[in-house]
Amino acid sequence: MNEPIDFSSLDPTTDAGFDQRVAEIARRASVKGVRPTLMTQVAMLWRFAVVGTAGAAIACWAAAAIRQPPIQPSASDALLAWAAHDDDASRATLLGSLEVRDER
Amino acid sequence: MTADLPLLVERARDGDSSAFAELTRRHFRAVFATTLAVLGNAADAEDVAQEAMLVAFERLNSCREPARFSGWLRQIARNLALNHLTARKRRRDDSSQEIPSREPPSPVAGTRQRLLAALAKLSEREREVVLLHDLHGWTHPELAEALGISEVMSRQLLFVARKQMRGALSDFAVEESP
Repeated sequence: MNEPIDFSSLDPTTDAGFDQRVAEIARRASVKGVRPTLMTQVAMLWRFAVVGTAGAAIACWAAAAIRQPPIQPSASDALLAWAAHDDDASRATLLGSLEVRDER
Repeated sequence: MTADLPLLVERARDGDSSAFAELTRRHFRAVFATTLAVLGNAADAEDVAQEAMLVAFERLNSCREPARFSGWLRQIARNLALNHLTARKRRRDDSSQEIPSREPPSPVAGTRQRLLAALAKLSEREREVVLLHDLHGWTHPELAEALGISEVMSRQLLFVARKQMRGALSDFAVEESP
């Protein structure tokens, strides 16, 4: 009475096309790949954010360095140069370093 | 057979195609038993079982205990089968468009139909127990752990399921005899 029921006619693994089905599942699984876990995704996002922020900071620093105007001679150097040469060029440099407009 | 299961799962996690194939070969019957218990239709059960394998492989990193891959996979299969059942119920209005086959059933197809009709008379839990035990060869301890029931309950369900199925199958035999 309690003998097993014969389900062999329902067994999909004995079908002629089972090996083909297995190959198809393996192929599709390989193509899709295994999705990373939520924690892995968060870690990847975090790394991306850190690297991105550092990269953006370096880019901003580089851009600012490129745009920086040429260094003006200091006012004392310009004063000494003007005293030594007393010409229009050294006078203009001195006024430029003092940010004073030449109204002569 | 199950000792190397964690290793196989690890290989599949690394994208090893042969590991996907081996896991499918080992577990497809149990997955099919689960989907058939829910759906009661062999063709749908095979399709959903295949989908369950693919979903499981895609989410393989969520399987925290590779040694319990089988139970984890069965749960995915059951959820997918339940979703499929809900969708099928929604589509039931369109069932009039289905064309019934006029081909006389082959002896094998006849046996399948009788088995499916007899299975339909059982509860989902009874179907699950009898299919996993008699089709896939799970033991009562394995069934008890997978289904969250006691071994005694597993034995009881199997006994009742087999008794009802034998009754139904003998009824079909009487109906078909001239």
